[in-house]
Amino acid sequence: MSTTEDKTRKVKLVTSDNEEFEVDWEVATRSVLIKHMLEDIGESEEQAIPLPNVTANVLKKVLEWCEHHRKDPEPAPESSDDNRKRTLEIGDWDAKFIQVDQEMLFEIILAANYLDIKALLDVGCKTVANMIKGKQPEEIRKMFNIVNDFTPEEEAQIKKENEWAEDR
Amino acid sequence: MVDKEKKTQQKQNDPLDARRMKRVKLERKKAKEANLKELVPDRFSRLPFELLANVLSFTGACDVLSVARCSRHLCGFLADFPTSSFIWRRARVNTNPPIPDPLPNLTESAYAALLFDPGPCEQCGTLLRTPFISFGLRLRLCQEKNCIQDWLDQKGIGRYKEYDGLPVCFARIYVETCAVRLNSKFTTDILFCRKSEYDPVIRDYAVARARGLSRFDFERLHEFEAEKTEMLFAKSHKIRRWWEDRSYKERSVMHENSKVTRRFATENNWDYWDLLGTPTFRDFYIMKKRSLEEMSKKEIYPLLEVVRNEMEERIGRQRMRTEPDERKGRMRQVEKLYARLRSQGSDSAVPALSVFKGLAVISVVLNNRKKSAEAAKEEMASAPFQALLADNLSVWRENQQRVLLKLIGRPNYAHINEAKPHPLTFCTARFNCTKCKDQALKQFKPVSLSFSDLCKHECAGLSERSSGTWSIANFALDKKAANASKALLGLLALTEENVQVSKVLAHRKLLCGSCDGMVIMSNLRALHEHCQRHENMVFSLFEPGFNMRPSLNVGLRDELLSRKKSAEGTRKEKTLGCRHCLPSRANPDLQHEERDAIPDSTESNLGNYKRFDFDGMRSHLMDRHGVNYIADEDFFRIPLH
Repeated sequence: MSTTEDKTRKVKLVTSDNEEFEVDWEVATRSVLIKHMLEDIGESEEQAIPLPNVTANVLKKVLEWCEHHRKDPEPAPESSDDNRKRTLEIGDWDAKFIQVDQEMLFEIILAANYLDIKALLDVGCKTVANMIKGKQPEEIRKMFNIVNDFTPEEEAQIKKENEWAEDR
Repeated sequence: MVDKEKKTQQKQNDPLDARRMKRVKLERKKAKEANLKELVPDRFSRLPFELLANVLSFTGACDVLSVARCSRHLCGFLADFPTSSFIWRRARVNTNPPIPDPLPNLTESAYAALLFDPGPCEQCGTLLRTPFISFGLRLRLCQEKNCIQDWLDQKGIGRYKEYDGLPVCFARIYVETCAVRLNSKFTTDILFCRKSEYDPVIRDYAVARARGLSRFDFERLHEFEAEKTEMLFAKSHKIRRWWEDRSYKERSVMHENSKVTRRFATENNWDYWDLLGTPTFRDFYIMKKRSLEEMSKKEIYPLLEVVRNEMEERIGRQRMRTEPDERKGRMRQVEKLYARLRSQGSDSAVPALSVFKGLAVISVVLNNRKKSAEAAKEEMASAPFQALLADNLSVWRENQQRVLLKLIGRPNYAHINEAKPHPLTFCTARFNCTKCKDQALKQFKPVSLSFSDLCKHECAGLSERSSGTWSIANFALDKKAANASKALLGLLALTEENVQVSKVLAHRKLLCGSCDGMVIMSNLRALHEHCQRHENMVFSLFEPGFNMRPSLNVGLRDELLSRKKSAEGTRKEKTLGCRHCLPSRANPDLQHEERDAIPDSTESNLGNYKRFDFDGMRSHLMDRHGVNYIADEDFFRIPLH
């Protein structure tokens, strides 16, 4: 649990392009990675936390999300129950926040994964899932610029029913 | 190496293989080009496996199947990678309604393909989007056609619970009840199987019986197959139920979404089909249909602005599509009006059609999108319109006249006395189009233009589009024609103002003194055109009533140049004589190269002229007399007698 002292604390973050961000402890600890690192380095306020896998413009965006969600409760531990349907619903603010170009969207997902921000990762993944939803392979290829490297034989084979059946 | 060459040769010879090879090359080229472009790099495929799995954990089985079919890399990840089965399991749960567990003899990915992939009807080959009618038999047949009956007759065995006497295991192993699907055709449950599976069992049973094996023993021998089939049958039944639920859900979602779409279209005064035609809404509608999700207002209203813009664009495009037809109708009416004005032969000059269309009063009619062709016709026939048109034409004419008066050296002229002829109607007021003079000569079109010719002039050899750029600035004073006219007036002792020049010339002919032989011009137009050949043309007048031998053939050139079939034959006839080769009356001592061949021009000796066909005549004129563009005055038709 965070104390009042923690809430006033500032944390320095250094991106891969050597840009330094000073953020509130409460904002920074939305990232489990940063939280653990802070716990490791203890009370030392001066020590900047290096984030070699995140660039400044992506971190800026991530911190914007963390700032907005600073008061959110801690995410519940992941349930092992696989039988629950996962919804694609995204909050209004998050939906607006994630309206970025594809490059940035994937950067946010990678950054959220690296910084271990589960909720942000879900927002990103849900956005990509929404983009995929109800689309045909050709539409997905076009959307993500995926090159169709199947040979015609492979494509024909794929189109045949039960292509991946192991046996009958 | 030799084998490889042989294979390549074989592939090239086989049209199917050749086509495949071509496709592979094309795909590779496309892929290469796409890699080179790198406009938006493929970040999706490069996602680490756990992130890809996380993304796909929010999607249904159909979507995972689509992703798997995007590229070899993704296919490898999702179909060939055994650990990816958790993604498919999750996707089955996310599918609406959730998909039951797979048949035990299938992988997760194969199971998804089995459920969602289209396939051909086993009987007629039609591609079907419906599932198997029997998952156990992997049998897909059309519902509408007689394929079920045909299949049962040819490839299947169907029994209406009449399998008594057959080994029980047969029924348990190979027969599946398919009453639900076949109810439209059969009133009772039907048990059926493939003939190819039925016959061996019957044979085995007969052999077993012959060996003294009891039915009980036979069934015990096949116990494993029986259990397996029973389990498959149970699973197949579950899948069938799931598919029916899904079909029901699909119908209800479609109905509901259609209602919401109609409501949304009505609220915004749009056509339902137009709304479905907008890219954003169409994609949204299809996405909802494929994912079996009902649309909600909350989802639609954020799209409103984009859809509205797309609808406006769409309506604009529709208008653009219908507009040209309406405009064409109006244009036809304007062209008719123009043709009427031209045919009336009014003394006032009529501008070229391109200029006419640009007149204010005409362009208002043409550009009035709401006006039909019929309405335009009525409006153009009305008295106020006619008055406006006359006014427009008069203003236009005055503007052009002002410019041309400068060219003929009377910039300050004001035409006050209407009884007097306007200087631009004088025979000395001749103009050339600087834009198309050379082309006009090549096409045997008049190059010396009077004011009225100039007004309706359309440049020769230019496309309709470029000839539309009529401009008074394109015209220059035709000095040669003006000088020739002045000289003629001098010979006739007439003044410019005398409009009788043409009439006077109708009885007298002109002999070109600058040309060899007897080049005679019959009218003022011929003089204006002929004088273009010489820098300072000299000519003389024949006395009235002079007996012209050989006689002039006015219009002979145009007749021979005509595209008519008869002209084609006439052109080949060697009946033409050269006027340049005739001994000149004005200068009888003139030395002619062909003098010996053409002793004189008397009618009795006309048969002695060198005869040419039309093409020969043109070549002769060009080679011998330097005449590039043949005219009536250059040749004559040699009379038959």
